[in-house]
Amino acid sequence: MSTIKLETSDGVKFTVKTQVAKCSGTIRTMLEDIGINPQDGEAIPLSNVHSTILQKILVWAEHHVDDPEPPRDDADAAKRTDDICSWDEDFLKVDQRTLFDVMLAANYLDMKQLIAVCCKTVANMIKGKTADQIRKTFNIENDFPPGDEDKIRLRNQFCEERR
Amino acid sequence: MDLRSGRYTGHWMTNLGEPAFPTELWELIFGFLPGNAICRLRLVCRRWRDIVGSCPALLNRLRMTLERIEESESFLMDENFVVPPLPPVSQVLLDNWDILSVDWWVELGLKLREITLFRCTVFMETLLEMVQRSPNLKSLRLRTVWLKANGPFAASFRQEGMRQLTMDSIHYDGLTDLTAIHTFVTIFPRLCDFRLRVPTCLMALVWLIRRLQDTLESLEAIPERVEDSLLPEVGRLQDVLRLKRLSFDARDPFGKEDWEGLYRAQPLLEELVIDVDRSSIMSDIARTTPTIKALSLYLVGSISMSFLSEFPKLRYLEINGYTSDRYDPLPLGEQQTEPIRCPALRTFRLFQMTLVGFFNFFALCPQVESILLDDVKLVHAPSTMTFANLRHLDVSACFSVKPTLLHIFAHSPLLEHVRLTHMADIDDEVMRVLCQRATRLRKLELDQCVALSDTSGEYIIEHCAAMEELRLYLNRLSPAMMQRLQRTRNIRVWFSYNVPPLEIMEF
Repeated sequence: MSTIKLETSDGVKFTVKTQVAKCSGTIRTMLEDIGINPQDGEAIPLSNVHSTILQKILVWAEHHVDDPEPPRDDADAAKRTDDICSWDEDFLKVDQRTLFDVMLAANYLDMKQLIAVCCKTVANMIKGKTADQIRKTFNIENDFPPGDEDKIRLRNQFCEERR
Repeated sequence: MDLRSGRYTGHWMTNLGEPAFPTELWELIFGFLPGNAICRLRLVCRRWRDIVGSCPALLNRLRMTLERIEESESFLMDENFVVPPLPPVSQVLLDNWDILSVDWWVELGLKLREITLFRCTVFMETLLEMVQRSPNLKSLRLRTVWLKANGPFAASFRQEGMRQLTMDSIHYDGLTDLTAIHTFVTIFPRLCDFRLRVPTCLMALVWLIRRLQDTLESLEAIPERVEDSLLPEVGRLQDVLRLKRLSFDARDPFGKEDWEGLYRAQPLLEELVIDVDRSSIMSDIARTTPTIKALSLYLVGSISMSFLSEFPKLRYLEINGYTSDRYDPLPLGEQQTEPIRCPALRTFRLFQMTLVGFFNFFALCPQVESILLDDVKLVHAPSTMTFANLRHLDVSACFSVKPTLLHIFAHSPLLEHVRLTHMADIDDEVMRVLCQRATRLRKLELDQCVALSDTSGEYIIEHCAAMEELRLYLNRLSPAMMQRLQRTRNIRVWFSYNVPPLEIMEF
C-alpha cells in the first residue's frame, strides 16, 4: 500500500497511507493536480497544522476513509445537528481548544465532513442557551457599548424564524 | 491563526469574538442553528452581530412579522405609522393591514428579498412603490389581498431580479385581474415561478406564458372555463419552455397519450399539481415518469391511492379533498392486496378528507419528517409504530384525533415543532404526554385550543427544556400563567389575552 510523508508546523513527520491522506482535499489536489510525487520520499509540508492536531485528524480520517460521498446538500432540508454518529461524538469529546483547533486544521486541509461534524458539535453547544450563557461557554467578552444590547433585543422582537 | 503570515500556530485565542476564528467557519456553525437561536446570536458580541447581519444564508432564515393581533390597534399604515425598530432581515410578512403609505419603507426595502402580504388592503400604486423601493426583491406573495386602484397607474420600472410571484385570493376594486397580471408580468420580466391560484381567462394565461417563456420553470394556473387547457400552449412552446413544476387538469377525458405528449414536451417535470378523478391516469403517469418528486392532488371523489407506490422518488405529497363532498374517505392504509409504500416521502399534507389507516400508511413511510392535517377526520386504530424521523406536526380543525395525537406525541423522539389550531378536543392530558415525551420540542403553537387550562402551562414549564418558541393565541390560559411562561428559561412567547368567548369556534 502506498504511503506519503506529511510534515507539520512543529517539524514532526508522519507517514500516512495515501488513501487516508486523500481525505484531505488540499492534499488530494497537491497529489493529483499539482503532481507532487509521493515516491520522492520528501514530506509534504503542512505549515498550518500542529502535530498534536494532525495526529487526531489522521485518526478520524483512518476511521472514515471508506465513507461514501455524502449526498449533495438539499437546500430546502433543515440542517440537522442530531445525526452525529456515536464514534464522531466520542472523537469530539475534547476540550474546546482542541475542538476549535481541529476545525481550523480541517478547514485548511479541506475536509468537508469533518468540518460539518465539528460545526454541528459547536452548534449543539450554542443551542438553547441565552446570550450570556453563550458568552460564558466560549469565553467571549460582551463588547457592546451600554444600551446597544437593549436596542438589539428590541429589534429582535420583530424578528422570528421563517415559517 | 496569525493573520499576517496566514500561519496556524496552534495558539488558543482567549476571545472567540475576536477576528482570529474565521468568519466563514462561524457562518457554517450558525447555519446549523434554528432561526430563534440565530436572532439570539446577535446579542452575544459585536462581531457575531455583524456576522449574522451580513450573511444572506442566515438572514434568509429569519423573517420580520408585522401583525395586528389586538382589534384595538390601528390597522392603518399611513403617514402616522410608527416605524418599528427594524431588524436586519430579508423577508417581511405584513398581516392584517390597510397599507396607505410606504414612506417608512425605505430603510427596510433595501435589504428585502421577500415580501408577503396577508389579509391586507393596498392600492396598486402603493404596492408598486413598495416593490420599486426594494431593489433586491426576489419574491412577492399576495395571499388574501384587497387590491385597489384610483384610476390608471404607471408601471414604468423593471425589476429583472424578481423570481417568484404568488397571487392567491385577490379581491379587485377599481382594476381587473387582467390589468394586475399584465402589470406584474411587465415589471417582472424574468419570473421563474408564477403561482396564480385563481381561475383566469385563458388568453391572459397564454400571454403570460409567452412573455415569460425564457425564464419560467414553475407555473400554477387555472383556466377560467373547464373546457380550456394550457397544455396545447405548453406543447407549442416545447423548444423554449423548461418547466419543472406545472398544474393541470387530469380529469377524464385527459388520458395516457395526453400525459405522454406533455412529458415529451416538458421532460424536466418533477412536480405536478393535478386535478384528478380516477387512479388509472395516475398509474399511467407513474409508468412514464417514475421520477416525479412532488404531487399535489385535488381529488374528485374517493379513489384508490395504490398508484402512490409507483412513484418511488416521491418526497412531497399533498392531497386536497376540496372539490367534492366534504370528508371523502382517503384509503391510504386500509387492507389492500398490496400496501402503499412511499419509501422517500418526507412531507405529507392533507386537507378536508377522512383518512383511513393513518398508522398503517406511515409505518411504510419511514422517512416522513413533516405531517400537516387540516380539516381532516381520522379513523383511529391502535398501533405500535414509531415515527423515527417526524419533526413537524401541524394539525388544524380536525375531528376525533385525540387518541392518534397521544400516540404520535409518545412515539416521535425527534419531534421539534407542533402546531395545533382550532382543536377543541386537545386537553391537558394531551399536553402532558406531549411535554413529557417529546423531549426535543422547541416550537409549540396553540391557537384556539379552548379546552386547555393553566395545567398545560405547568407541563410546559416543568418538562419542555428545549423549548424556544411558544405561541398562544385565543386560548384560555390565565394572564398570570402567560407571564410565568414568559419568564421561563429561554422561551420566546407570543400571546394574546382576553379571548372573547363568543368568537371562539366550538365543535
